[in-house]
Amino acid sequence: MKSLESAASPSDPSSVLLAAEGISKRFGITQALDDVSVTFLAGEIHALMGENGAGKSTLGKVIGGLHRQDTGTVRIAAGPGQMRELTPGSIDDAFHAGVRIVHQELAQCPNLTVAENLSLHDLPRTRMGLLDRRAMTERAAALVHRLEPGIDVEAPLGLLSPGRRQICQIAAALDDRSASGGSSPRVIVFDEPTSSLSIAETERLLEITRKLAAGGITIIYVSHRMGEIFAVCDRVTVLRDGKFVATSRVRDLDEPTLVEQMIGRRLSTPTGKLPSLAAEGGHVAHPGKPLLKVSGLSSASKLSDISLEVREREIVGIGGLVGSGRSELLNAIFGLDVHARGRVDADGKVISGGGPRAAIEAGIGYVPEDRRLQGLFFLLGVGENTVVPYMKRLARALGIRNQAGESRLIRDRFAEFRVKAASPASLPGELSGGNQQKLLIARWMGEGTKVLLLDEPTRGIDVGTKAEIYKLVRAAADAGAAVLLVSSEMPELLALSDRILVMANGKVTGELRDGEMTQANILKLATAEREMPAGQEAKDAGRVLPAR
Amino acid sequence: MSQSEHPAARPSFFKRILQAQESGLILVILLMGLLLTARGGTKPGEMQRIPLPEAATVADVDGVLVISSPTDEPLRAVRAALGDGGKGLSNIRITSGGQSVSAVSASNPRVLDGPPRALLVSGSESKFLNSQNLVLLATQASFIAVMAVGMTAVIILGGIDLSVGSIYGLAAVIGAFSLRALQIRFLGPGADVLNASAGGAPWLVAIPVGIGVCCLVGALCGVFSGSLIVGLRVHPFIITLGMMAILSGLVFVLTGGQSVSGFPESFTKGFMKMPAGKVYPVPMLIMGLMMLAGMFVLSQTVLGRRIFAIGGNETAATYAGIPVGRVKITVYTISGMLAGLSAAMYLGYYGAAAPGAGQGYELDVIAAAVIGGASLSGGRGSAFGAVLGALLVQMISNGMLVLEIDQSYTQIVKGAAIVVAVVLDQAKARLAPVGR
Repeated sequence: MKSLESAASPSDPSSVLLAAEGISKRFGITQALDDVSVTFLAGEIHALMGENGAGKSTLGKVIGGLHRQDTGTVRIAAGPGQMRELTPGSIDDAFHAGVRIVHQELAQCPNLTVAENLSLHDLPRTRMGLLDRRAMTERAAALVHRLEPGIDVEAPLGLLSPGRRQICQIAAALDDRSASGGSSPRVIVFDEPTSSLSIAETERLLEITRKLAAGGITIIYVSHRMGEIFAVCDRVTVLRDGKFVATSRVRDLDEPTLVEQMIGRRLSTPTGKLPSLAAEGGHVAHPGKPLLKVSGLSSASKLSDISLEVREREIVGIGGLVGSGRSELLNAIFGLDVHARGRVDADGKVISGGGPRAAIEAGIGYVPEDRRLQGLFFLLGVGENTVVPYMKRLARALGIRNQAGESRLIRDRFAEFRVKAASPASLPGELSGGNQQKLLIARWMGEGTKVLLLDEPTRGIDVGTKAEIYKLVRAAADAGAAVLLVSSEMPELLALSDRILVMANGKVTGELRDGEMTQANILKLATAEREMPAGQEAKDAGRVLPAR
Repeated sequence: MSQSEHPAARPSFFKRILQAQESGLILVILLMGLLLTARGGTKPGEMQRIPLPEAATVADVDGVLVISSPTDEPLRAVRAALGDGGKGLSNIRITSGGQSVSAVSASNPRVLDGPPRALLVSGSESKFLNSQNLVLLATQASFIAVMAVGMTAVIILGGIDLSVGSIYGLAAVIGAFSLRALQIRFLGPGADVLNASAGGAPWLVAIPVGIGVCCLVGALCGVFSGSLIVGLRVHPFIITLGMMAILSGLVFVLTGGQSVSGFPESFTKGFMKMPAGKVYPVPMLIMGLMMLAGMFVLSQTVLGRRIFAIGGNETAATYAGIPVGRVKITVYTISGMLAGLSAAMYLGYYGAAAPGAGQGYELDVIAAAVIGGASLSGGRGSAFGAVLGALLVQMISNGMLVLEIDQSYTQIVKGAAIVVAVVLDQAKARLAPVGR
């Protein structure tokens, strides 16, 4: 990577692999991109940064041919000193030129196996014209195992963890088809590649990214995560409100400057070096009465014998790898897991067995992991989205809606949580990701909320909104709520939590308090194997919960 | 001016009309009405009897009826009946008091001799655009429309109910048995239920029994399929497909293939087919009522919004604590009940239950709901649209008659209409702002 950099200085036009020139793109009333020009050099890792709605994803999609720009051209190096223009909006042409896009929402068929997904474009045939399963499996294994040897390519894709699914997508992007008359990958656009990955998987991905770039592939890295940018990227281009702000070498930048470029002002609490938002020592020493009590919660193979307690004014973080059972735990507490066995008490009332309604009535609010799939109703207005769980409680006789009461609640929550929407009738799709998330938090953080379950509450949202959400969560706890927070973002987990429980394989492997709360300790407990003798290593890292 | 300032905040009047949920449908209905009026041709209208004064003279001159009247009365009456002037050859010439002369054309004018003397004329009227045809169209549409309101709720929920036609058939048959039993009870055993011109069950009993039994049967069928869909987690298509076959089989077992009739008159001529002037408005009134009820429930009640929420994102609905299963069973029950209500309307209006009643109605009902804007992927639809859709579906059948096209083509046109409606709906969705 370093050698490439020295060989190809940014001012040398001959090393330009891809150039986006004067790109503008409008969606309805939103000018997503406004005359943006960026050049990408051969073999560099080039970050596109910006807040949500800044246009970085849109630019990635224009380059990959998923979106057709209104004006401007994308050109790619074709032969020595020559550039050719890519057909706007043509995935085929971009693909043929070697531009690949790894996108979180890109279509995959979860019902097909990994191998089938990787070969969909060109299923191998035997001489008889039948499907050549063996060739298909071999090809898939060759691609996938380079990145992650543990993946079973004959398993249905839908059964894999989000992280592994992401790796399969990257594997597909890496598929070199030059042998079969296709193209070999030259540019890979990563669109928020780590947003659903665990810490270990993120590390793995960054390693892969470095390797690819060292091999001469240009990586366009669209991300929010400051840490990753500084860890792997060579240059960074910042966009704001669809406009080009600056392209800089990462080593010439520091975090405050980058944040300033992104939001146009200096932020008092930049991410990455979050000041602790945990409660003052007094709170931890004298937390209130326990509001959430979980004892012996188990569910099939997902959870085994989990007991925990969250007290008034306390934020308990749950660390662990993706697939360790963190989201499953929250689901079970909220009553969504019909197979769950064990007891859950909220504010002194037994709610296990009562389903989500009992949980909501006991004052539990749950902001789930995936706001598109599990949170929002995209065909209903943002107002109704907020008020849905309370409609019944507010309603008059015979289930007739109390629209005055609903509007009042919507107005209050929107004001309190600063949800920016044109009107309660606007659709959630018109909101930025950060505002969508705030909408969901507003839904669940009312006066009646005693327990808050938050699953990745800041995934995929911009730094400004993140800081806002942190403050809201802390304020809710200070006002007396018990908060259980699942997060894969270490700085977030460390900054917000008063104490941290770490999970692995559906079990709580340890608890960290005060000074023990470090990234290294969390990772140690998160990777703790079941066979580990009496949690010996975990003990070094922190207190181990009384063994089952 | 305001357009250039805030193009998105206030779309132009035309665009708003275009994007309104049902405006396109109303436009299509109007256009189709226009087409049928223009292409449907005319038929002789109703005969009218115009008294002629004693002093008037009548003569037939080369096929033209020449009437000389001392007063203006006949001239005015004829003008009122046929409209001024006339197209084509005039075959009546009227002179009033030797002053005004008018020539009009009428189909087959005749003069009735014998006191008092009268002129019989009938004007020509559009085969489609005449009050009788339009009322008939609306009445026939009302049976479909009532069911389409329920189907819309099911489709908004993200489901489908293929069994409505069979539920309609079963409810009609059981309702018919009940009404006949009721009639026998009131007339006494051995009475001729089929030809009882008077007596029989009073309306206070007959109407609740007729509507109650039909709705109950429908609701029970709905509860059953709803519970199976929720309890067994089987796709509604499969469950209701099975129910469709089971129920229509049951109808034939129960009736032995025979029609059932002999209902209290208080339910038929006294209610569902109660004349008001020359029309029988009750089915249309029920249709209007159910449409309003559907609009109210879907927009103003907790249940209605939960239906939209589940159809839009069932997972999110579960996470928001909505009792998804219960709402689903309720919606299938309502759909079944409305099929029962429609069956009650049919019993009262036609006075008999045929064993094949309701067969194939599911196509019309689903077509009405979908044409009315219900999205088969769930989350969108309206009761008003469903009723408009039912009118359009019925208009297709009616138009075939008016245009004298072979009835066999009806299904083809209906099928095409569904496809066109869905394509237009999607095109309209693309006009909407991004992010949806």
